Amino acid sequence: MAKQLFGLETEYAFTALDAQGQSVDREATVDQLMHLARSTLPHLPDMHSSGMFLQNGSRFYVDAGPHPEFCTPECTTPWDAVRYVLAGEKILARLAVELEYRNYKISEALFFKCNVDYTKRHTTWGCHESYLHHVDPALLPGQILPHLVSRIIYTGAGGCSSGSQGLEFTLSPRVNQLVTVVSNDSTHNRGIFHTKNESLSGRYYNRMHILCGESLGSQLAIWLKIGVTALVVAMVEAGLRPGESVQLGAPLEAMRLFARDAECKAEAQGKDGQPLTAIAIQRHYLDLAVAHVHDSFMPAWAAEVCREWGRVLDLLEAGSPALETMLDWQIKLALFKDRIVRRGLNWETVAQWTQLLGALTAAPRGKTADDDTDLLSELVAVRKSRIGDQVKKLAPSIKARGLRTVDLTRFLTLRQELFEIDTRYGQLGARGIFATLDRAGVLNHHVSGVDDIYTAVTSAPSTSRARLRGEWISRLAGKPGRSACDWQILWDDTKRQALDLTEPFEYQERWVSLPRNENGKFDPFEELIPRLRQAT
Amino acid sequence: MIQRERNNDREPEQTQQPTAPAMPSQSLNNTREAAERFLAAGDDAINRALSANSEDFLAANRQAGGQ
Repeated sequence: MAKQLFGLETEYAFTALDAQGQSVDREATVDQLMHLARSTLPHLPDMHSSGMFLQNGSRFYVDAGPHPEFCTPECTTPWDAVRYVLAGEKILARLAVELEYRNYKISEALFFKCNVDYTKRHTTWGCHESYLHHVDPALLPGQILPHLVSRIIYTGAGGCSSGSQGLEFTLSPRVNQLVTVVSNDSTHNRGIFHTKNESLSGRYYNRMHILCGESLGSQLAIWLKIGVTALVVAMVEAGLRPGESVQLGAPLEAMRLFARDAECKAEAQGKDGQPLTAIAIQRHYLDLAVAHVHDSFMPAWAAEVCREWGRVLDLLEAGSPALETMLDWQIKLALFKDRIVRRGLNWETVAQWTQLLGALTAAPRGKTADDDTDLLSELVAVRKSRIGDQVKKLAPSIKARGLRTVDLTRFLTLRQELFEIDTRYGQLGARGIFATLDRAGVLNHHVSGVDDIYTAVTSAPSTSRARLRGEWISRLAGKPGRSACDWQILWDDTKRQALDLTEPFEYQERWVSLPRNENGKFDPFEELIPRLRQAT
Repeated sequence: MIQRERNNDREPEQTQQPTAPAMPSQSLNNTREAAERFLAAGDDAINRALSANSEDFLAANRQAGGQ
């Protein structure tokens, strides 16, 4: 059976609040967080940044924003992928508690596993996936795009559409941040398919980097996201061309359509003009995977993934309420609907307000539109502005729809509340909504075999080069010298030798001593990797 | 604060027990009860998590973007 290799990078929103609920200087707090991590977690410094590699083989660092980011070690099963995501969360949650304890100004240090910032339309946090492969990268988009577009029916985080002036549920909030189909940009011109191909391994490897995915709470959803996508990559590697007969005429539009459709019945147009639902596309990939499930190019766990994949598609097709406790977007939709009713409104009224406010947004405004300006806040605050005049003009329309202008404030309050619910859903620690529901035993998202998270906090997976990295980090952490680490190399400054990790499935130690260059010096961090990659 | 984290560290309680196949009406009742339990727990979790003013919380949490 073939081996697959993959990992996840999760970007976390991070906020420290004082006793009055005001934000404490974020940059200073993030600096303090990293200092705390350096002083409490066994690690080696990252060769290329101020971050670090930990003894479980993972990488922890601060990315632009600044926001903390956690990368799992290289995993070979979807069970391990979920396990190491959860291990990373345990590490971060402990750091948050420690930070609160050490800094008297901080009342709450909060990590959020959320996907969009509702106060700033273009702010988003990614959960990227990486899959090792040997395919010509140019072949991938055509074969993988229909999968990425349609998988949101089980991988979507759920939430509100950040582009809406009202309240619109979306299966996948990150879809609003995608503006093109294929792109090499990860911060602005984001595409469904990201062309980045930095293998972080020897020269015979490629890495598919997916940035349209989302942070999830459901173990089942994370497990399926990784497991199914890895099977699709395996099929492409085997030359099967799994996406060929489900090509979409307009992938981005199809993804937006599927994201809006909580019934999973919307039909996008295939390239040949045939109507395709997200479920039909997923079934096409599933049927092909099942037909080849015992082939040598498939991983040993392919059958288990196919079984769960098929079961979830069946439940989606049947519109089963069982999914309301299994998949993130379904859990959130149920919570949102319930909250709306508890606030004295209903889904239809919400849709009517949304429509009305959309019309208002489209009307001429008194000042230049600004993406970061929340029109609805203005509506409440600036009663006498031209926007206020627009509200007056729309009064007959409000009445004709059976709505009351006094309900506008109630609707706006509800809107902010649902935004906070979405943000708090993925809050790490005891008060997070998902965590609380999980502890209450009302969710059905656990994957059998995802266990022993505490071991994963301190030990790397045994089936990839991460094991060697983790073991040597444990041995060298805290020792004097410039020992440091990278995905492909570990520099032991005590021996002046490098552990070659360019082979991703490496299980034996291969130490390399480098000759000094013509100046009599060498910088191990700059010179080792190109040399080792060349030799691999 | 440390105690709070320890609470979070507890393994999720296992509430699902194997049961005999249910009659259709019984199954429907079970589903309805499970949904009611879930929504009640959801309401409780939300009430515990939400701040006094969502707009203020979101503003305090506002940040620059990732990827």
